Amino acid sequence: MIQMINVEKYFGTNHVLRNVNLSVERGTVLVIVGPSGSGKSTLLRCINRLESIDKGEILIDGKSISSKGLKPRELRALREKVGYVAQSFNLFPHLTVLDNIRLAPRLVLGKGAEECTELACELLEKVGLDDKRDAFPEELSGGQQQRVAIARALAMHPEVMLFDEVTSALDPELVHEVLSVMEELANEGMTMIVVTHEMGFARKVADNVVFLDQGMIVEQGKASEVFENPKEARTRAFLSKVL
Amino acid sequence: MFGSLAFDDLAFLVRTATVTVGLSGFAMVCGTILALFLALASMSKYAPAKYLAWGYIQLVRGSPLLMQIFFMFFGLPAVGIDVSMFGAAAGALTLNTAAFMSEIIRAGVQSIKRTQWEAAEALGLTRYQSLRHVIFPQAIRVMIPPSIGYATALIKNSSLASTIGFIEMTRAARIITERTGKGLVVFSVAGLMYFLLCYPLSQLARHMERRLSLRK
Repeated sequence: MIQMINVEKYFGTNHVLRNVNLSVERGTVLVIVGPSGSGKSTLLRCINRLESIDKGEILIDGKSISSKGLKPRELRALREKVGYVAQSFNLFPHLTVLDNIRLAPRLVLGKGAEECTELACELLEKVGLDDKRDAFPEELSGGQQQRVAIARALAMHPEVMLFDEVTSALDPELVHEVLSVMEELANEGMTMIVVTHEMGFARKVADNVVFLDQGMIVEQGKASEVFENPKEARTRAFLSKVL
Repeated sequence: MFGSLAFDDLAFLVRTATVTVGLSGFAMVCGTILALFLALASMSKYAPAKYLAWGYIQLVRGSPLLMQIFFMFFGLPAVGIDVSMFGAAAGALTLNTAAFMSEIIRAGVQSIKRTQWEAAEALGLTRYQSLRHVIFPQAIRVMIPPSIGYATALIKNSSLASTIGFIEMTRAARIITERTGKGLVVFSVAGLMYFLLCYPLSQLARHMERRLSLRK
């Protein structure tokens, strides 16, 4: 479903991704862990091309999203398959919860107003916020906003969801409500790539784990193996600090 | 004070006050429409459009409005373009408004966080859709107070149209003064009328500013 092949990325002279190779099968959950500044978020943002890469290739369903000659229309078609949820929610503050969710299906997929409303209500129920449909983002807690952001991404019927440290900006008591929504998604078979510091959650839902350090994949493999029996010293050192 | 001013003269001032409003309103509306395109050009990734817009804005903001009005009225006929008094005044004010408003619009759009663009982009919206449905509705709140501020300046600046003989309120006040010699009364009344036009606007700007800051 997603493949990264020999990906290199620089921010100026800063080499942020070094020869990254990974692939994600449909229906699996990949968790990316690593110390802060290791390039986890950048890696994720390259997958829907919020960042461009300098070398290598990123494929979504076999189609390159990283090629330089990609037309805006082709890029949007590929992005449609990819849902993205950021650490800072980024809800649209001038729209109600319902309108936040309805906007993209209406504009991008060309769905009718009624269909969009129905879809939005369904998703709000799924994330446990059906009573907040007419609220504005500023009236919600962080955890609620993040759940709306997830619903907003799901409204585009993505085939893969990218989660970029979605609980890092939340008060500790609100983390759980967001994670449980994500866990439910994983159980439904959604393909997910998750950057997180929540190791308990990672162990529970991850099929595969990538350990990234200084832009390099130090270790990757089945979650059970990497968590229980890390081969690399750096992985062991990191895990012993966070587990 | 009003007693010493004939009813006809007062009526003349009121009538030309509507001309002042009309002239300013025309320039504000047309100038803002032009400003929208200028702002888009100045933010575009296409370098020629960007530099053309930038050059235009610098040129207009860097020269006196009075000179621009003279250029239109006395300059353009020299190359065979005849411009009426209204045309010259409205044209210069419109081009001026376009330059100033485009900077207000650009500042408003750029005040919106990049992550809002990203969120829209990640959902598959086109650049235009993002601007139209996500960025602009938020930016407009930032733009309103300085726009109203500019509108009051525009009403006052429209008095420069009197220098080429266009009859708006300031010109009317001069005509009455020349006829009656009651300059003190006439210009007091005219000044008061400018104030009555501008004060509600600046109050509106204050009100909006307070309301918009509460919403944050």
